[in-house]
Amino acid sequence: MSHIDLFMLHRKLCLMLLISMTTLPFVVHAEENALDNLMKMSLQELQNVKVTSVSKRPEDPFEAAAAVYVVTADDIRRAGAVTIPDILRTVPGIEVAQIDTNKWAVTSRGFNGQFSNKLLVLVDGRTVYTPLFSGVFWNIQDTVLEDISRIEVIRGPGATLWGSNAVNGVINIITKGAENTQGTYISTLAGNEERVTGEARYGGKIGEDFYYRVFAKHFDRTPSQTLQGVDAGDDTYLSRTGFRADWRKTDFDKITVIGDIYSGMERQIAFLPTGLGSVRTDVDERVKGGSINSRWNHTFSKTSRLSIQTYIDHIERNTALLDQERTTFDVDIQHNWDISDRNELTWGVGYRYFQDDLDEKNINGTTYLNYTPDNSNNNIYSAFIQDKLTIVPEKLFLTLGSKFEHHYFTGLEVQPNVRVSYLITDRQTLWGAVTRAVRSPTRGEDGLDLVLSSTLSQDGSEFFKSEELVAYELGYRYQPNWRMMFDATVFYNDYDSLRTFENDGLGNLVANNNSNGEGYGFELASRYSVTRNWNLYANYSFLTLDIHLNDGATEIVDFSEKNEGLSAKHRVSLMSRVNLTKNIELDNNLYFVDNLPEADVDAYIRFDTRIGWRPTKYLELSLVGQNLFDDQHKEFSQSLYSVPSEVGRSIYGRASLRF
Amino acid sequence: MRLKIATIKNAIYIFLLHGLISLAGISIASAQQSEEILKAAFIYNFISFVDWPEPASKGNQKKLLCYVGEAGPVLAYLREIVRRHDTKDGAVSIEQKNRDATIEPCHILYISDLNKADIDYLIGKSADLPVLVVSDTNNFVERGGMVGMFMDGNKVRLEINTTSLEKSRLVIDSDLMELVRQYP
Repeated sequence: MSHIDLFMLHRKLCLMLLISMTTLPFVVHAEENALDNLMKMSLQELQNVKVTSVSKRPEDPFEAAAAVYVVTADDIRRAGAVTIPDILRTVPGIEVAQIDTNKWAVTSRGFNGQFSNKLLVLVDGRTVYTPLFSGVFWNIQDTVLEDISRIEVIRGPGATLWGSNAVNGVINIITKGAENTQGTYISTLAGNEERVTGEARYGGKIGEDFYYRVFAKHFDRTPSQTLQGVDAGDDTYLSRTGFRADWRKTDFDKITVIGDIYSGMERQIAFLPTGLGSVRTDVDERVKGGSINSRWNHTFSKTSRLSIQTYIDHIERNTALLDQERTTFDVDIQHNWDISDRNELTWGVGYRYFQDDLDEKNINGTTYLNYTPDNSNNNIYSAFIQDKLTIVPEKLFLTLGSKFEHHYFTGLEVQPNVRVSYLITDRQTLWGAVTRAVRSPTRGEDGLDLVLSSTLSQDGSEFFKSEELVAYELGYRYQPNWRMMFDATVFYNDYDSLRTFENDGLGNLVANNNSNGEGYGFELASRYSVTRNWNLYANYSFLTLDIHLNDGATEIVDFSEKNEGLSAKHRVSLMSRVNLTKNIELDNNLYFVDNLPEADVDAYIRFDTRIGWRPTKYLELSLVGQNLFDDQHKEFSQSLYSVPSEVGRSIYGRASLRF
Repeated sequence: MRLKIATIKNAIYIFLLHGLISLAGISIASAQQSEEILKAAFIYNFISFVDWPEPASKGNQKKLLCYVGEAGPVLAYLREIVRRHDTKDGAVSIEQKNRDATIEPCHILYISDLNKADIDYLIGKSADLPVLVVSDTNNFVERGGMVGMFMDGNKVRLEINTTSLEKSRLVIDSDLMELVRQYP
């Protein structure tokens, strides 16, 4: 481009900017007037105003052909929880076990563990499942809990829409739009286990349609205790700050940008195997990271909508054993197209890029965790298509679809599903689904060398492929009257190519896909309203896993069959929500969890209670007791190098101001 | 120089065209609106068309508008309307609630919840209470809900379940009753 061209371009841009600036006041003025004009109109006039675009209502969870459960913003507030895993305890069929102060094991329908790999977790559409050695770092999944709009939980596979690793469930954490977090919110809590948590948020607007919020949060938690009552050295703190901006550019375009950065510490003590027995070592983990996520929603017409989302996520975790750094870039395009009244098509394409840097550390001459190669760059390409067909209007629906994903370790994976929902009456839904999903290999299963003892190591393998599931589900929902609601799901999971670690005869246990299994069970959820101001919820779930080694499998340390004893066979939760007066709430949660033989955990009962009082519309005070029935109990065992620790009784008080 | 004049001319044309479009935008804005802003305007307007029986209104002229469901644009617009139009400082306030909440203090209960089971629950829970229960969910008045907002082509219309209304002991202005579709 010549110098003159550039000059002209520059002038044109300046001119355009000037024109935009001069007309901006007109546009803003128009928007301001829109609301004021409407408020001047009579109801008759309002009935004559034309609507620019009719938004499509999302599917009713009562009619969905999947085991969906939604945790609302008020459910979160009344759960008395300070962490997202503690909120998930209230969800039927979700297994939550706290390992220590900064680690949790969370899953659905089995295979629980710190690195439980069959549950996909997303925050505003951004995956937080780590592809290094699977699982979710729950301690860093946090925000101002008040700003969460809902947590959508799907038990069972959701791979067609969400992609690989959505094998036994999907958890979708969705934050509120900035237009609904206007004003100031300040909250602080302190207690015996919670040293202090402070959070502050401010939401404002610029012009008429640009809303934003900024927030900061810090938490600091005391260490738990070991079985012997000794300090387990696992205290943790984390600071986070972030923002969200929502710009409703027109009635047809909405742009959202969400970002946060965090930094903190997860202390831990490891007992590292050496030739002279295990040696106690501090392996405090410094964590920091951040993400930025932007989304553009565009409505073409009443029947056609497009969304484009892109995010970058960066994470760093440094311990005495390993320094890890990972950056993810992701872009997803989704188009919803209602071809006719009876035919709703959704399709999309996605691309994800990972870059990681994993530097092993040396302790006393031994490298305990060593990834090969140290650095990698990987790509995932994906596409999906799903069609919801109305067979009989308002009665019978059929959904067919599949995900096609090209994974860097395994190549093409096809993950189809068929779902049917039948609305027997207006108050009864029967649904069924058959789904295939895969759990793709992690970096660890490809090339990690992990020291298990002075003579044994656990190794990844380039031949390790995806674990596979075909799931069969049947569900029924019934609401006989306004006081009662009932939801039941039965499932049968047929797993193949499950992970084993097999002896190569040289002291190496190498990753392989040499076992298969079945998981089956049922989940019941119910609500009963005793009075207008007293609701009771009762949930029960039953689960059995049978894992079998294939012929010729040589597991000398039990890895795959162990999963049978890492999930509770019976889980019960009873919850009560009482409004004592119009501004005093009493909320109780009682949980029974059956024993976990492979984690050496006895059956336990956990009781949490909360009393909340709103003396004015600006102030809310609450007092919460968690695990009140016993001093401390064990909920899980961490898998690697660690000392088992117990969950103690926690009592804290909280004050929140909104203005 | 010729170039310069052309540029200025262009600029003037573009400016005028842009201004015209913006002005057109204003006139369109008055006749055409997003569904959410319109629904928020309807909900807020109901306050002046309803008489709440004693003792709900006794000694308390303040009106509480309760919103049940996920925070969405309607809630944001309602808050904005209250901020701008509630001249009698604090005469109208808005609270977002969920199904477990106490609804007796509410004057208007707007249900934006998606779950049919929760909608039935809230209709059942509010029956016999002097609360104007409004929703835009499908078949709301057929299910026993009080005031339904539905799309008639590209316009928002109202329907009222007269049986539910009678039970609530609320009195609705006759002007409003003439405008709505009555059920059954």
